[in-house]
Amino acid sequence: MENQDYLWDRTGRDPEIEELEDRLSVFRLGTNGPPLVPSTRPEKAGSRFSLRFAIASLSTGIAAVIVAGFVFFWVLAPDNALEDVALAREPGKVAPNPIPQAPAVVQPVIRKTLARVRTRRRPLVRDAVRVVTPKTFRRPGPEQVAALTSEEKEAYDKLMLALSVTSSSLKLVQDKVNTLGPESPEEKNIKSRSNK
Amino acid sequence: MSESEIARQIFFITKKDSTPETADAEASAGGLVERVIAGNKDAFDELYRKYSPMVHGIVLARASRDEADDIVQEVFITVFRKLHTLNDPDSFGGWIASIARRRVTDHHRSARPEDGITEDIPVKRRPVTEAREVLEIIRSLPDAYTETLILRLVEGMTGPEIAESTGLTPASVRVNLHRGMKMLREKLGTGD
Repeated sequence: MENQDYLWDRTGRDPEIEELEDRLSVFRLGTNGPPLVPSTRPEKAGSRFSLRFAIASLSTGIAAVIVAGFVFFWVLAPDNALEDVALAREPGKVAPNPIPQAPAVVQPVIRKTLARVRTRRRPLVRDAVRVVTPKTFRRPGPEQVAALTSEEKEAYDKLMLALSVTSSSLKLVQDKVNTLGPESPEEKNIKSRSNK
Repeated sequence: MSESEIARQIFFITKKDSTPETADAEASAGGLVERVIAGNKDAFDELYRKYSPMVHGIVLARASRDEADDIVQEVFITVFRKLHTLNDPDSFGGWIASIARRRVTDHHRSARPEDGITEDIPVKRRPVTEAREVLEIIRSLPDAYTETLILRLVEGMTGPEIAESTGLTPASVRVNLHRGMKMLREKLGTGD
């Protein structure tokens, strides 16, 4: 007679299944012991992963610091920050805007990065205007010129010549613009719309 | 039984029950796996003792008896080497079962064509021919029924033991056992 419990957990009796068990027991696993394995312990899970994770985390952190510094000193800083810095370095001058101060260790890196980016940046109209703005240029005094070496003096003379040529050219352009006369009513209308 | 013996038994029982959770945790698959990873050789022997019948049953469902013994050894060597890749130690049963199935497949793939399944059973033990025929009939059943029936009838494991070691649910094992046994009876000609 069939006994479902015996098939499940061997409670009770089922002669048919007992006979099958007895017959098939010849195929049962022998008395072989476990295989010989090396005495060294298997590698612990996650040991490689933790090392890689630590390296990746460190790299990501360094990259994040560099990007944050770049964003802060280049994107968030005012456009005339370098000029303010230059003004602040002159004795007796006060910068008009507060200057953000980076740690001394990273200042050379920031300075180099800013110089590179500024030279690669597409020139803007306001940059061109700033070139002719008097506040960015301080003519050195006679005692400073006398202290220059011969090479510096030659470079200074060339610079003065170039500036005078540029200045006269700009003067000619300005005179030409001034001779064009007052704005037409249509131009005034366009200008007022753009201002709004 | 003398009073001292009774007292000793009570004492041992009390002592054993004092940390039942710790003992259960160490004896569980997860605890054994962690101890093996920590370098405990005895824990590996315990893993073998606990899971080798299940592995043998799975292998025997697909390979001859002689091959099965060798494959079981290979499976446990693989287990020792790759144990650190097991993310959840408590899922050790299902993990080693999948290794055993894959190992048999690889074995057949690499075997030469003339290496067919041959049974070399000691003649003196039982009517071997009948046993071999019954085993072949069990092997002809669907895989789920074959594995479960071999674990039950050949390896002598109970349903709850099969469920625990293979990672299957007890309900699945019960269904496989009853449906497999029904099909086996029909093929043996002893069904109702």
